Amino acid sequence: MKKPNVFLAASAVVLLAASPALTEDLRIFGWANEMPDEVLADFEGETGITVTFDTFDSNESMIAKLDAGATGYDLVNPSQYAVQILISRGKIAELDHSKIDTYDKIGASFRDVSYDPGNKYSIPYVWGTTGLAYNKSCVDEPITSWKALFDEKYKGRIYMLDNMLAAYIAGLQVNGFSANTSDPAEVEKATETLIAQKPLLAGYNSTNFADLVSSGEACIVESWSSSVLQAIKDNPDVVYVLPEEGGTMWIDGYSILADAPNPDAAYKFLSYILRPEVAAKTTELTQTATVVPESKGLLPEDLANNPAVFPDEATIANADFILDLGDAMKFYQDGWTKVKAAR
Amino acid sequence: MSAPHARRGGTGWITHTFVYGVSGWITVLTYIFMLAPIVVLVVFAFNSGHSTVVWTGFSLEWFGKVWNNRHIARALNVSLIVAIASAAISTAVGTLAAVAITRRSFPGRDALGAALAAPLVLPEIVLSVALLVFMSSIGVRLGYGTMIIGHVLISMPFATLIVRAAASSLDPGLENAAADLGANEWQTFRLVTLPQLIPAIFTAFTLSATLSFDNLVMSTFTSGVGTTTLPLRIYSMLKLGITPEINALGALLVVANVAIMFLVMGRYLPLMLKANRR
Repeated sequence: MKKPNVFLAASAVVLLAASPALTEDLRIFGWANEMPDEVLADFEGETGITVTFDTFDSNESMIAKLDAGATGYDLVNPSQYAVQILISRGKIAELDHSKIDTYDKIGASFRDVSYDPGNKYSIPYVWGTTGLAYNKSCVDEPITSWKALFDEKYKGRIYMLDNMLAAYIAGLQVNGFSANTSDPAEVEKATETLIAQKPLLAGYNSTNFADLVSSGEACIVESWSSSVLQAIKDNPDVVYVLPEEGGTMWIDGYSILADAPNPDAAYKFLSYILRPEVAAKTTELTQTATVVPESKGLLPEDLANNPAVFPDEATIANADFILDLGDAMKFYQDGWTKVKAAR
Repeated sequence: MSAPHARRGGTGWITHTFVYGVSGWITVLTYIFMLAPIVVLVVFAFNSGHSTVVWTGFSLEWFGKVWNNRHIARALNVSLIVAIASAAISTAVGTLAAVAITRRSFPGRDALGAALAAPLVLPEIVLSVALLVFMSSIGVRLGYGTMIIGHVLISMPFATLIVRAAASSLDPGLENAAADLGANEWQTFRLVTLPQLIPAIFTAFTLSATLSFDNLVMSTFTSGVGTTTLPLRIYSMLKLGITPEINALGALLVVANVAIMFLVMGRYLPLMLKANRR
């Protein structure tokens, strides 16, 4: 009795494993929470393509994984500096813009990004800023500068993002340097500033800092714009600002891998997500701005006019872009080790 | 009259230990220390707001979200497949190795025993990176296969240790008696040795499955297309802030774990007690 059952089970497994080959597949390696389930499900419903969505937790671990030979993905979802690294390592393919029929929906300012001139290798999709958030109930005056993060007054109620590049944005810009410097002397100065700041900090936190600033446990936190939006909605005392020193802007986009098994499905997906109604849905569900300006008209008023989601042009123009620092990355890593080890 | 008061009263020992005794208080505080975070986690799973710190009201909304999140369902599926497959392999190989080491004498026996325990002392991240580099250098595609191999590497030392401990306490006389009565080696193993080891094998399997289910480091390096496990998924969700959705998922896992524990205890506790009496 036993043997036929085993045989049946084995053949069922084989059949299950073989069946996806009959339908079209698209495999994406991306950030969690930046691409809503609904959009993926709608795309599957419309095209009949089955989407597999694997997630990573940082650009660095994604690059390491692809470098070590993880293959089989069609699309990857890198941030701006990661695009440069992937290009230099030959991991992503040059795009054929004629295959993306909604390419002209991309806003003018995102057509020719500095990290990938002419968008040859990547299609920008969602973007946001790195600035600071504070709770109005515990400050006397509006906060407009990184200097607040280094102010004795708020000792013990300040959090910095637990992320090397993010922490250096504040450390460099407060000294008047570019957040994208590769000058070792400037990085050194920023390192000293960050070490001097440490006694004032309640901690480094990049997970629930929005909650902490909303509950009033934290007064001022360095923050990613998208992370703090829900807290702003729940608590009108929470304010997000891009500091006068500039802050930074980030873009997460999509690139097709050089060894993608199904680039056609990848192009279909890119064409789909750039449709204004799909981009609007993405913004509504993830509270993150997309590169499709037309989608703004389809959004609820309060979201479209929220300066934390859509800062005005002048504010954005002032922001730095974190790009691939190449060999200068070492100065940051050495400095960051010192900062983390300092008391 | 002669029996101590504490025994006779039935509940008197509770007063004795927990009100007057220091050890009782230490026990209670230890339990609070260990369980309070889990209680907080579960409570905030029912929060109606988006915060995991500020209570805004009761709601089941987050459980609905978890239920409808197909990524979580998919990740859970992957985690279960990898946990069960790797635990089955670890336990099978671990049992055979344990029996060989405790029952047979052959050259290199001690070396084998030590080698089997080696992954216990090697940092997991070193094993993971080495495995990843090896797999990609021989051109193996990352996925279920590589992840199951990786998890077997992590859990097999534990499985072997558990079964070895049980096997070394077995009475060799029983096996000799079976051989005397005409059982061949295979029959002795199947009918005498194995039944006595069942509780240990079961423990080894459960522990291996749990280790695999919780694993983050090895999975990070060995997962491939479509094989994001639950811990990997949760870890990547943290990047954009913790919502009670993660609490709700945690609460469900706690409930599932407790349920499995009761199920296992109900079925196997009598068996284990019987084995221990022997």
